[in-house]
Amino acid sequence: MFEITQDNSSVAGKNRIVLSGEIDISTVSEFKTKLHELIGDGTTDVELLCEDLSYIDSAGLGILVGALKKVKNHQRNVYIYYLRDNIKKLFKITGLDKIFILEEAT
Amino acid sequence: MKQHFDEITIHLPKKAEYVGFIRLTVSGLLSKMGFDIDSVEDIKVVVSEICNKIISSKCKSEEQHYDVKFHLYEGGFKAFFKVSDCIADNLFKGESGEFAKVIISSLTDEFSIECDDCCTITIGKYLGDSINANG
Repeated sequence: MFEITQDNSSVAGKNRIVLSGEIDISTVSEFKTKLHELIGDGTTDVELLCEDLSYIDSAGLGILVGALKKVKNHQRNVYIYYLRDNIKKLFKITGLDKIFILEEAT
Repeated sequence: MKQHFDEITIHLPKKAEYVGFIRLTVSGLLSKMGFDIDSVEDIKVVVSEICNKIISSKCKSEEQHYDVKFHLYEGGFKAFFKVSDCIADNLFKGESGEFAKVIISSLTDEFSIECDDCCTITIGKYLGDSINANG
């Protein structure tokens, strides 16, 4: 079960998105479509809340990189919060921990 | 690894709904062999990556199945993922393909892709320090 929702309590100028469940071959297409819908033209910073995200595969990581490129075009950034250890491990292995801003708290 | 091994082969449809089955299978096999939980979780990630790439790749073949063969040794295991009429570039395409290869090679002791008439992706993991003290 995978869910992506926008958190309307976002601070002004920040686009807060909550991810939960598993991003894998069966959900990656939905993830890509909805993430790009929520990011829009990419002119605001994006905060991804991942406390309940239990798994993301390489295709999902590729989509995150695509989203990062989109907001970087407008000198904005993607902040990722509360990654679980198993996912943080994948970010470290792929070097994505150096590209995204990984945060422990909002 | 010692030469003697048990062999298990599974013939799988190229469908996402069976990836969970192979993940559970490998989890059971590795736990039984004495791998610790972190290593088992790592290999589940690796197996998912390989199966997902096989399922989502555009291969020439009409074949709608692929084979996963396990060799279980006393000191570790190997798994061979065999898919017909594919080339490595199609299996690990683009940015996510590169991420997948980095993840697989980082979490295993052996990783190779060999393609001729069919592609065989081989992974291996030794028990080494991964032995479950309670196993």
